[in-house]
Amino acid sequence: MTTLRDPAHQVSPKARLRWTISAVLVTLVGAAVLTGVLVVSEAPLWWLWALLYVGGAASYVVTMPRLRYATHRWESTPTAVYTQTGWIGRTREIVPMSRVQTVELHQDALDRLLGLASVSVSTAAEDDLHIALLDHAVASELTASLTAAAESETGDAT
Amino acid sequence: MSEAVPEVPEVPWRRLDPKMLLVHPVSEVGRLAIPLLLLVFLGSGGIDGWHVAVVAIPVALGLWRYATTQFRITPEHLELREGMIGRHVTRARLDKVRTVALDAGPIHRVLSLSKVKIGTGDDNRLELNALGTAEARALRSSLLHRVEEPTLGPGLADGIVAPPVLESDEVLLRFDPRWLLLAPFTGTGLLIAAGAVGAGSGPLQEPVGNLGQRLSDRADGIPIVALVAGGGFLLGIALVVLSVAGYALTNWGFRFSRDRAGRSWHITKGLLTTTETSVDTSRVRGLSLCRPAGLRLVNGGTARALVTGLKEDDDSKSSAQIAPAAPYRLVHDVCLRIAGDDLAVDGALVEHGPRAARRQLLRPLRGVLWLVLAVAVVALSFDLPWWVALLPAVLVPLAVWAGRDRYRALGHLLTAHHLVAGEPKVSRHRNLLLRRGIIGWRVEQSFFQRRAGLVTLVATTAAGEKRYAVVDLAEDRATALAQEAVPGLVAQFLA
Repeated sequence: MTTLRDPAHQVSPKARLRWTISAVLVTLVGAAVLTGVLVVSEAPLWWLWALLYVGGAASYVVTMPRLRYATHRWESTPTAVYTQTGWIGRTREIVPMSRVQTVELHQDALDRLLGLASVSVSTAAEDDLHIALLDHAVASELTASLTAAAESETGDAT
Repeated sequence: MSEAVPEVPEVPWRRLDPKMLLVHPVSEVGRLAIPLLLLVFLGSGGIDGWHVAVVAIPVALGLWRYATTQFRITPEHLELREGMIGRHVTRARLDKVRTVALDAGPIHRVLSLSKVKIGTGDDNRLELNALGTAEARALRSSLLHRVEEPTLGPGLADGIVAPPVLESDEVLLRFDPRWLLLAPFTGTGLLIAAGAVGAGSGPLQEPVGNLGQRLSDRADGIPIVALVAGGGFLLGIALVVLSVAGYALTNWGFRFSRDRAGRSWHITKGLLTTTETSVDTSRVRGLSLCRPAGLRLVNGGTARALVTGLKEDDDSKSSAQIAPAAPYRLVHDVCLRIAGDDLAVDGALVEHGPRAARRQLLRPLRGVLWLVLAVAVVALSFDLPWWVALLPAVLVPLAVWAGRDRYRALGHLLTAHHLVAGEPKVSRHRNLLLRRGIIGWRVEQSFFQRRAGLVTLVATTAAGEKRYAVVDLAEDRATALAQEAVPGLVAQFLA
């Protein structure tokens, strides 16, 4: 039975906190919208809708970051980058080093606060490959090594 | 060291074809339509300064545009210098040129001029508007075949000797007016009609309303069934006419040829505006044969070539149509000749098994179920009888047919040069992706696929749709396929 194994490394443990914060923010926005709708429409069963929403939002905030942390993994070898992402479904991506065009390191305000960073690797295909929420030191080291490896390859990677 | 560097002569700038002096004023009128109309209205009766200005301004601007647009071909670059006020130089490296398209609208054709659109790998393209058609063709062949003809470049500047490119080409597919009969089965008529209705609904409302009024005045006594049938018949006729006209406009005179050395392909088409697209064959990453349900009724099909760095128009990805709706036998023969891989074009696809078949069958049925639910909600809120919700159930036989057809299209095949993927769609795409054109893998697994032990293996590439999927394949078979298609990549990540 030939199957792929998981990539070697997990993302930073702090990623769970980062995902929880964004989940809380999203559900708060959703709550505000729902409140507005319920108030304007004077729905008779408003408490039922509210209860359903709170239940759904709470389970999302609790489970999503844990499932993501369990799934998200990455690995880089001299010849390829291998990632695994998802929380309900699962996507594994493999890109040969010879096809890498650019390597980028991203960090938003929240990431900087927590000392996290994400790396994205682009090829001539449509979608980039993302390695989300590594410790900043790990991410910058990875960026440097990927850039060096990609530069040593010749050809236009199409 | 320094004296070893050969003297590079400064390449002189050239202007576009002088006949553009006739074209520019006309297009300037188009650009300045509103200010010019204002001028006409501002002027009083009789010939006066205002009216002279209406003629003089476009002519002057056209002259100015002609005078300020120049290009040149240096040994390394094609440079275009333009800008009526500022100066803007666009530069394309000759070795990055992927595609060259010649484009001629009706005015250009009368004057035998052609626009030259040059595509390099990135998204911006360089357009020379315009050169004489013979000169444009010569430029095209020198740009595409420059490896073999290194002396071209500066020499191109004086009196171009057009190589008889088109005459010596091998024609692979040539338009036959009988293909027009296939047009009503393509579904483009519906698209054009929808567009026409959308665009015309505003201004047409009143005349159509009047017509309806007059018709209903006269229609007393004619049974409603006859009216509906007559309307349907007229609509059908209109769709057929629109689809044939649309097909003729884009595909009349279609010709797909390649040069004898196999370095480039040329595609010519168009009734009023002709387009000649040329493709450097080293940019081709595969083919996509398509047999949608409508065309299958009349044994028709279409085909596209997947080419990197080619954006034909906004809606199509990086691919070129190498066969419009045509008898499938011809489309198939062309693909056989250019693919050089009979198995990939003809070979039976490997089936994905009963679990995949069930998923493909359930998909359209699930659509029907959602429709039933939606109608039920509507029926409840408008106090309609409950059985209204069951009306969409008449679609079940259609959904079952679609599900079976989707599975019949599904499959994959690995040949010496290609990864072949049959898409599970009623449009029956058979995608042939060159194995060396695969630039990465994605193994996607949704929650439900996970329970069925299936994955979708996606090969990413720089051409066409940029991703070609082998849908609903057992996980271990997908891994084995990826490993075999691109040796040495996946092996290091196996369990």
